[in-house]
Amino acid sequence: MSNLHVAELFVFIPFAVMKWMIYLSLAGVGLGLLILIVLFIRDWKGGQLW
Amino acid sequence: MSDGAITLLDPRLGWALLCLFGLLWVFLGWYWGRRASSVDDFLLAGRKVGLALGTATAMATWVTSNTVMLAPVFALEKGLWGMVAYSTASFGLFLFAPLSRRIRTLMPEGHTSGDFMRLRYGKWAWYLFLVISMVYSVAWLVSMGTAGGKLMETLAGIPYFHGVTAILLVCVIYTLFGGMYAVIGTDFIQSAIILAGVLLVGSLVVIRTDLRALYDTMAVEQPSLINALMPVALLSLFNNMFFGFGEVFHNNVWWSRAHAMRAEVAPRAFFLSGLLWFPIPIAAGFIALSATSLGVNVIDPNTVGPLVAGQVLGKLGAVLVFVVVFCSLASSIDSLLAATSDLLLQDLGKKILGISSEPSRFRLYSKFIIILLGFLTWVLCALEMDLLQILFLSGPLVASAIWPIIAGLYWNRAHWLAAVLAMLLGSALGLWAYFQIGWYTASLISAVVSMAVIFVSVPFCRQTFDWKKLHE
Amino acid sequence: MEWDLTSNHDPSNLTFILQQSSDASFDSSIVRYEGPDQATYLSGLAAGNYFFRVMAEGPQSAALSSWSQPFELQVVFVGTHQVILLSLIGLAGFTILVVSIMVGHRLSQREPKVLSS
Repeated sequence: MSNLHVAELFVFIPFAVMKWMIYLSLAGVGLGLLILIVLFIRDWKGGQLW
Repeated sequence: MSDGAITLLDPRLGWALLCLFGLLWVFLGWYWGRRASSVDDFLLAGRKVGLALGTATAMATWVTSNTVMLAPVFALEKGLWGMVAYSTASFGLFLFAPLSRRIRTLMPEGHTSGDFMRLRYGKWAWYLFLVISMVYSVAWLVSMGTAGGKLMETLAGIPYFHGVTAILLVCVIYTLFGGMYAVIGTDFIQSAIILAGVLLVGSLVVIRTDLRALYDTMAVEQPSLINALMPVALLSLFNNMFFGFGEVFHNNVWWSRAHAMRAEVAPRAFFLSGLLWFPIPIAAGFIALSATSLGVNVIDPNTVGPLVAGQVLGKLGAVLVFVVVFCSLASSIDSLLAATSDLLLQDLGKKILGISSEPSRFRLYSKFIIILLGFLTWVLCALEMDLLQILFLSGPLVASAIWPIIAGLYWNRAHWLAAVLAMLLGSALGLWAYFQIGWYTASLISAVVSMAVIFVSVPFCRQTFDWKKLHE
Repeated sequence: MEWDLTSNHDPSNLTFILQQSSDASFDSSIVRYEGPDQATYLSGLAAGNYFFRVMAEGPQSAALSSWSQPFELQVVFVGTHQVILLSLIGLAGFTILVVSIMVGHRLSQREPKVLSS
């Protein structure tokens, strides 16, 4: 039976990864909002909303 | 240090917000409902919804109060990886994109996911599928209603029963007035509010938090939260993913959207909605990690999101959280009401009970079922049944339907008996795993068992299915 | 983690200090919480044994009580083998699913029109 200890399953996520994960997620939300607005305007002008 | 048990908003302000937005949704429901001149208009918004509204409705429906309120809990319990694990629920939307194209190709006049199961596999698979779908849909609906009542009470001191009643009443009324037009139209506004709210609160938390200091503190006091190999996060990664696949692939909420959008729009809309949804759990969740550094003592993790928002934005933050939560609840409840009543009407009413399909009566039945479903939900919410547990238990049920659907759409040698066995065995073994091994295995095991049954059955299937039979 | 006063003292003017240590003697410890609340949520601890104790301070940091009896907490994670096995099964299942959908999608696009009028 292996003696692998749970403590060996430990790899710290680097600070830079955490930082960019947070920044990129916020940027992604902002970009998503922008995309929705742009698509809405495009569909509305083209009479393609629904 | 703040006390985690106080409400954030004055009840009068909470009621004012509920009434303001409630009246807005009801007005819009009535206004847009005037477009619906046929049954297809009412049930499927005329099958011509464009990319903007299509993307927004898929995204908003998938953003539930859980996404906004539970994501911080995930962050606190499972750390950074846990938030990413939550985000993988968006993969269901990504993968539904090609499925939606196939659905529109095979069934251009289709209505429900039940239609597909009935025509593809026959009545036994259809009955079983309906049972699975109804258990899940009702559990989701009631858990949303219950969450709404509890959140209104926590955020604004509005008594639970009153909050539940108000939210359900608003959603039932505007869905009644406007059908799918109301649902999709309000979803767009709600999705914009949700995205703006998450962005604003998240950005302010980041500005006011020293991320380096936060990281260093976590490394000492909560090291597991920044462990890339945190066991429960790793386990929930794939389990959540398969739960998500099962939810999206099987449920009529998504099939009705696929039918409501223009055929060429549906795949792009679902893919885009997945992209829009993906960052939300992370953006909404990480604020929980900042709680202590912002002077917020977390006592009940379920309130950490609103507490942190209130801390950084004061009363505005509390209002924002209230509005975002209300929007995320409404955007899911209205979709569930519409799609589940549609499934009951088309599959149970029309196909099994043989009710009249004469347009004016059909539309009347549709409204009656929406009211009935709303009432049933209200009763179950009033009884304060903990259907969140049932919702999680439905994970293995819906995961068992993944492979019958994939195989049914793409393989002409998937047999009805294999579909039935896949759903039965997948559900049974998934539920067994839930209780005997742990919740983090149930959907995964169900999906894998279901997959094995389907794969093993294909060489034994002599018949090939004629795709034209799906065109009813 | 929650704590209560054993006497009938009014808790509203008090500051509670919660200490955490990995040994029962608290030779090296950290303060996990300091404030007026009588509970705090703990998460993210690595596997191992922990000891907690709490003390109450009055106004001007005057000690009002001695340290409480230590509370021992053992943090245990799911076994490594189970994690690896389930993760591999998950990865395999996910890969097969994605490939199946992609292949099915590609092949279906090459099919002649399914429903010709």
